[in-house]
Amino acid sequence: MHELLPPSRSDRFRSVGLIVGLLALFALISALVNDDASVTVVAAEPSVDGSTEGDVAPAGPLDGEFLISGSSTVYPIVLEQAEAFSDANDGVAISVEGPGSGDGAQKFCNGEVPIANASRLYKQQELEICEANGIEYIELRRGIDGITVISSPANDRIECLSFNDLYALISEEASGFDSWADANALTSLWDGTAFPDVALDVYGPGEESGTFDSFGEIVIEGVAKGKTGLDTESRDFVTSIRPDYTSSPDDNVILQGIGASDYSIGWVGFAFAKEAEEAGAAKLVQVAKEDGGLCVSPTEETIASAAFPIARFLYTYVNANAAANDPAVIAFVDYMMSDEGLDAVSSAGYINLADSDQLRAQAIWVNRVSGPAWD
Amino acid sequence: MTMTEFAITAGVKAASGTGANDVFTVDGLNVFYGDHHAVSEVDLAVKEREITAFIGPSGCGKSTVLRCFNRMNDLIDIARVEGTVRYHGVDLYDEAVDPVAVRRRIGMVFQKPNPFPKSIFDNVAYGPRVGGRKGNLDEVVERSLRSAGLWDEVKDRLSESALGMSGGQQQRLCIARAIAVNPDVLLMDEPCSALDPIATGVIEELMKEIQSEYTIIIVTHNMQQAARVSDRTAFFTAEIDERSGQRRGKLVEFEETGTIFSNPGDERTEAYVTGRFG
Amino acid sequence: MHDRQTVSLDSLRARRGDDAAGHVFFLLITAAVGLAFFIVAAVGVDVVVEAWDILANRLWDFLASPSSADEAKSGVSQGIRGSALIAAFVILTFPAGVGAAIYLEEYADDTWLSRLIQVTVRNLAGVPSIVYGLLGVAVFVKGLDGLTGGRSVIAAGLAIAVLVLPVIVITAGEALRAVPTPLREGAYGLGATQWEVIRTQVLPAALPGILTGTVLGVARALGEAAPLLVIGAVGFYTTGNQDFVEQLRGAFTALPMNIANYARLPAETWRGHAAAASFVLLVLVFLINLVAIVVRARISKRLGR
Repeated sequence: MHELLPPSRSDRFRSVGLIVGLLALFALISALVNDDASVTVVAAEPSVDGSTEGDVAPAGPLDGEFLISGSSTVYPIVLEQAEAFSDANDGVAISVEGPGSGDGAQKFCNGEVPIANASRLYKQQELEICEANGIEYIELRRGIDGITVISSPANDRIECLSFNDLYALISEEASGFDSWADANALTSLWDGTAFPDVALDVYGPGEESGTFDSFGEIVIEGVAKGKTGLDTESRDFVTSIRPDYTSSPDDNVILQGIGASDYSIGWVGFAFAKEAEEAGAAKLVQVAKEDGGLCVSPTEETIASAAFPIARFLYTYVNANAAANDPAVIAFVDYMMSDEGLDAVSSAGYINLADSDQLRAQAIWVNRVSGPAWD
Repeated sequence: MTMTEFAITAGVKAASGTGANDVFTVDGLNVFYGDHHAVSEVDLAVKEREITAFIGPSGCGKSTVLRCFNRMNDLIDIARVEGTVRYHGVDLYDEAVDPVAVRRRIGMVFQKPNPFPKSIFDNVAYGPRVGGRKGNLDEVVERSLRSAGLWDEVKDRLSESALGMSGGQQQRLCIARAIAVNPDVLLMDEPCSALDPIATGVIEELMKEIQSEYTIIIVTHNMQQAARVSDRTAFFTAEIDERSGQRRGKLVEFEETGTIFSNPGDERTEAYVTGRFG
Repeated sequence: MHDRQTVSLDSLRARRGDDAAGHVFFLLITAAVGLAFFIVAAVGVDVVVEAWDILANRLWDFLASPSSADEAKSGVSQGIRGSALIAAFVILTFPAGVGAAIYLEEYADDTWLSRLIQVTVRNLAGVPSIVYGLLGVAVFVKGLDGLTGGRSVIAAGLAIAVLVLPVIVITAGEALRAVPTPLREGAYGLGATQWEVIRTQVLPAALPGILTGTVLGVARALGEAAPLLVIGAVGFYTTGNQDFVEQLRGAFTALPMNIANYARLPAETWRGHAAAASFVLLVLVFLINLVAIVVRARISKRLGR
């Protein structure tokens, strides 16, 4: 008699099992690969956790969790500080993101984060949200970022630009200019800088960026407000940046654009520009505040001494309530404002404050002075 | 379910009680697909243990009528059936009747062999399994395959995929599969139209052999086939509806097969069976 | 009757210009295939070249280390973990997606309501992922923060699962629809109930297609960056004393976020990290697709096709 084979019903479901199994394995491996000691610590020594919770002794290791948000410019500084801090305080869960100064302000003033960084002072409407939500803040200046005007390394005709030249090239009045010579129509109104007739490609960060805001405020608004000696009485100047430039939130994309065209022009933070120059990817253009004024190259020294005219301060906002009550936040800001913590500013490519500002910032923190402290 | 089983069993008893050997009695059957009136006013009776053939040109509604016998038309959302189809006296379209129970008693073999993408064994065992039979199905499978004349060809490769068989073998497997649930009736919808003449001959012989146990209704395009195998033949034709321009199937004549082919009562039947039309 | 014809060989030769359009089309599609292959190869080569320093010298360290300010130590372990958890959430929605597809394809009557649902599902599959990020913030971060803990991997996983769900429903639905009618009729004809037909015939036959759709969904989920940005994947985090559940409810990151963060860091030396993280993501997606292909082939073979 022939042996009838048993049916194989469950066979096809083995494949489903295979997929689920593989994904589970994937998850497991990544959990193991993950170095977060606490995963294994919790599994191996649950008593450690239990005892610290039961123990009210203040002498125990620091515990807590918080998120730092805000400027992507300041992110590299905070990343370094947060890492060094958590190496010394492994009980604190600390996280850092850098969505931008404005996003950070929104989260900070809604009470979502105790610490937020900014590449500019908070605007009035942002502070109003803070006020509406009863958020008191401590405003700490912590470093300087020079905004650097860059061009292609192949650009052999442009060495130095004045604020007025930048206005003629990048302000809203320059909309539609696709040759440097087009800007001569504007410069002829004042000193008559004559640009060559070569293609003008403009690159810069997008509106969400603090670098965009700062460049507009320092350069374009500076010109419009007569700070560069132009007659603002008899002629109206705009305060905004031309809309028809190529924008990107990613500075590396801007640098790529800059390198792609011989007579490109753009603006980025000093740290990016310096790296790009060292890598041969960009040329740093000297800047003079006034027509015919001193052309200054952006360097650590010229930015720190304010000789380089386009520079901005970097800030950190700390929730005053957290600064009074949250031991983890207090410990972190203590470290951040310490001389050791402040080394991160220069190692991240930015410029440390002059000593007087440094001491003042440290004093504001130590005394927990809340409200606007800088201008 | 139990209620339906009861209803059908009662029907069988009632039918045998009257001495009538009609398996199906169809009265005033009309089938609609949405707005399309596909089949109109069919009346016929199918006798037990006979082979009844439905013939006629394409679009005459013969398959549609066949699919009313096991409520296969239920699977088409827009299909609607009017009139009565009695199975051993029970109205198949009664609200209490479960189409699933109907199909267990009235099996079907389709135009194109449609074995499941499973082993030969699992194909035959499928019906008994979904019917709730547990345990060893070896015997059922062997008996069904023997009935379908397939056992000797496949007994050594029962675990192989049914899709590896020839077209004729596949169709006989489908017959075996239908037999395995021990039905009362087999509906065959042009079972040989995808087969070569040799395979067709095998199937026809098979039908003759199993006729002693099953009532068979076969739809066929092939008049010789109807003449060879069937006891009775129903000739359908399609009329064009004057208002809608749609084809509407209609039963022209239903007689003993010999009569249909040698002495048809309707001239349309004669025209068709002599090859002058269709 | 025809007259006897003389046939010359020339009359049977291909005439010039015959099927010229066909030749042009063939050239065009060959060029398209070549271009597609070239682009994929160029991306792959570019990523590997940029990432070579890390891949060659510290691949395991890179895979096993969290992000750091120190270029020599920074890695993507937290990103892998986050992406794996997000993928797990997508897997969890698989039954819901397939169930919805079964309902829509097999059970729902063809009414205006079921059509509306079908159209809506299709539209949802085309909604930009950033919108799902915003939905995630509103529903999972804000609305259900008691469950998700706010800007957590749970919120991100749920948002991305919702994003992938329509894709699963559509591909599963198409796979179900592609199951041949004779197969269904054969089973119905043997007295199978609707559920038996679906369970024993339709689902097994549709399984390769369903799995392929799901795997493509998972692969898409792994690559999504926009919803993570909105929901708040961070660049750096430590877990401190958090237990496993607290970690699930706490700060998180994922591979696309690692890539974005590395790409935004100033120093040129971070380019290699961005490329290496991209490489890891590409390899993962490739592996998942490979699994899909293997599983599909195995099931198809088992079904004898």
